[in-house]
Amino acid sequence: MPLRVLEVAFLGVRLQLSIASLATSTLSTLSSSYTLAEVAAKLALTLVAVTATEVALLGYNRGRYPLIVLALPLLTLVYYYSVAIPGAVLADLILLPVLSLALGLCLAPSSYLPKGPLLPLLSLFSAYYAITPTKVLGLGFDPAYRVLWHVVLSLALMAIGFAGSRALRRHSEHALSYLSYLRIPLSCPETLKALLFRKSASAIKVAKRLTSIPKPAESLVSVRSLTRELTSVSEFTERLTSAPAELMYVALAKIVSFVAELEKTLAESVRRASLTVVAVEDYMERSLTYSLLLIGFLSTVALITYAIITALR
Amino acid sequence: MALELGGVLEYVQVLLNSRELILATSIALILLGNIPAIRERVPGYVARVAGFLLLVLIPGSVSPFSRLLLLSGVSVAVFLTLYTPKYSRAKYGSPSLIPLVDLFALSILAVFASSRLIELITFWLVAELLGFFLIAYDYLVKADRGALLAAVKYLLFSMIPTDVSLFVILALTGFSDAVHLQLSEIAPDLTSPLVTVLVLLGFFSKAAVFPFHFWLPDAHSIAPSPASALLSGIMVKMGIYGIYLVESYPLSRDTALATMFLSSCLTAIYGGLQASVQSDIKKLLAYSTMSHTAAMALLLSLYILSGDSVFIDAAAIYAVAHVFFKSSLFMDSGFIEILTGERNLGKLGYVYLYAPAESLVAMVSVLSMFGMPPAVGFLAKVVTFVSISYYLKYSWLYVLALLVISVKVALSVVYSVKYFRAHIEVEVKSGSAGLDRKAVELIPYMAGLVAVSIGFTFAIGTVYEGFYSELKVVREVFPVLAIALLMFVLLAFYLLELLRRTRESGEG
Repeated sequence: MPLRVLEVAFLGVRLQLSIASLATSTLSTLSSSYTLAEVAAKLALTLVAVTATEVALLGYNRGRYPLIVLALPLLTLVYYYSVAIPGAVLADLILLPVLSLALGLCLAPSSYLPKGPLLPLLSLFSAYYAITPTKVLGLGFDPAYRVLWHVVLSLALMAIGFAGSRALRRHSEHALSYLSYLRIPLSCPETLKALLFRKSASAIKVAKRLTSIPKPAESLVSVRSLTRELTSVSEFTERLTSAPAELMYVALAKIVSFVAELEKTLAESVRRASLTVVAVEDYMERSLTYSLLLIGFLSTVALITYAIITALR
Repeated sequence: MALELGGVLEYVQVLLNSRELILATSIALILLGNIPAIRERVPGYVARVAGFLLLVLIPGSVSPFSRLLLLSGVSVAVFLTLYTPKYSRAKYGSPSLIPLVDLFALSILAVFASSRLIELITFWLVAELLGFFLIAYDYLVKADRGALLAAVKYLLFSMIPTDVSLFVILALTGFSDAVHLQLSEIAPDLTSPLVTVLVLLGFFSKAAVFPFHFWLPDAHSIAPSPASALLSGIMVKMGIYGIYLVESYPLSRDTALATMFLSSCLTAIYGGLQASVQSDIKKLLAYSTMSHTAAMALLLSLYILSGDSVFIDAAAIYAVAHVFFKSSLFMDSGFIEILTGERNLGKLGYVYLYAPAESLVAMVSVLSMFGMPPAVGFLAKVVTFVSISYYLKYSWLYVLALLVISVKVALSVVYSVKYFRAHIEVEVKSGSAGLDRKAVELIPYMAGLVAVSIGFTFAIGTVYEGFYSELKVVREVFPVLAIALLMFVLLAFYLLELLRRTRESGEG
């Protein structure tokens, strides 16, 4: 039951942020206030951060959590550096769809709420509505028309983001599954071979082999879901015999393998760097402590010597 | 008769304008409230709370920066003086922690209320000394050598460098000016690059910014939780306040900018990364403090670059937000420690089963860290981003600052989630053995502090309106805050009702 309390709390917080950002963006468009436009954007970014927390804590599609955390600085930078520029500029043709897609992936309804599409859609719309006021402020229309354009632009971006995230959902989820699959200590070439040559039998064999391997506690997917995933992938790929699809999956598998390697190397480097920093800190701390103690000791000795010499004179 | 009444009123007004009298009364009340016979009774609580509240009336603060720190600090001190007796009883079996915590809070608040350099240095030294004893408290009562080591580390790397800075400023000001002139009127010559670096490093050490940052995690995690709340919530702001004061004096601007920008960028990321990998709840919070104070120092460095006071405002509001959410989270960590006897995140995750109301209070603090309206963290983040984004086109340093702040925010999501997992995990762990239910008595004080932090969002607008009529952000977001507050109140009522029903069905 307390879990339900938390669910309701997050639901309420998202509703609160969505309504606040809708109100702020509308006020911004009506009053031509750039400050309010930036406040609205901050609300949208907070919504993304809250969604990350919700996804991580309540366990709906936890794999999406790192994706959202990684996307957050990118969203912030893209928004403040380019999209916040008033009026339409050429860069918007690229940056707005990128921003829409990133928002769509982060706030995709399927990622955090299994029931009822209304509130997730409201959240999604409010996020798009909150990042677009600056784009209509420079158009010079009457306030009412500005709001209308604002809504139209937000809906268009939402359509791009929603459709894009749905189109990419299968791929991003496959990528996340493969990534977690590759994390399991199984020979990588065998896994890749199974995936690349689209042989369902070998894919199932590989997945069956997994059952004998103890599941790591932090693994994001269960063995059963992996088996289902692999079977569905292989069935899907068998149906798609065209060359572009095959190429796409080969590329995806290579990217995933590369990302897994990169992740491993990065984790190792961070661990080593962290150890070095701690060692340097310890060394610095020790040497500073000894130096200060030595200075204190020498000053005391010098003062005593001075006092004795003065007294003797 | 009317003349007599007018005379009395005039006299009262003169008394209220007397800083020294207010300060003396406040100290007297706090000491009175700490008399052993009454310190755990209502008269003791009332005297101490009145003593802290009286500090709000002190006239003639140096700046809105110090005024805001004083007001937010008083709010934290009021709730801590109510929280500490129960914490002290539950953890140490005696109320001996109360006077130390109260006097420590009082001395820090007196630093922010100081109008002359000599006052500031005196209260600063007293606060540092009391801080030392609080960090070493576990050594004093339980002979924990780790506490002594942390306190010595604090003495060497926080107290000594800061004292050097303060005495350099005192030497360059002259004793007579330090006694007679207001802090805003003195102008010590810090223009030599070496002196600038020396003075800044001293205040960096207090704010735990690189290179003197490593004393903080041990000191803040080993001290008792009320002391950690004061150390992390208010005391590190003394370092930020010191940097703010130094910026108003003649100094080598290029050297100051380079030193502050580099150090704060490094610390903001480093603190966030370290916080993300900690497994001890208090260490996690301590490292996150490093990251946040570095962000404030970064904003102050951008003031040197731009000369625009909007960065000072942003740093001040950020500092106030940090005072609230960090103090309440350290109080929460004390609650968890008392309830479960555990600080390791790997072994927690079931607190919500026994104290769902506290889990909700902690959630509000965590969300405030993200900048959720109507908490004051929202204003802080808005002012920070708005101020930086306005200057993006002028220098790449602003873009770098935005990048650092964005990464810091993303890391704050990671460690906040990690912290909150102490309260709730999907895989429920059982830990009911050895639970100390007395901890539940602490919940109202944390809830009160969180409620005040929300109220402060509106108060900050009023305070700032008085000082800066050109600070449009606070005025413009007022309708947004009103909507957010309304929804927040509705949500709170609904959640409380849900909790009540949960409890009733549990009892049934």
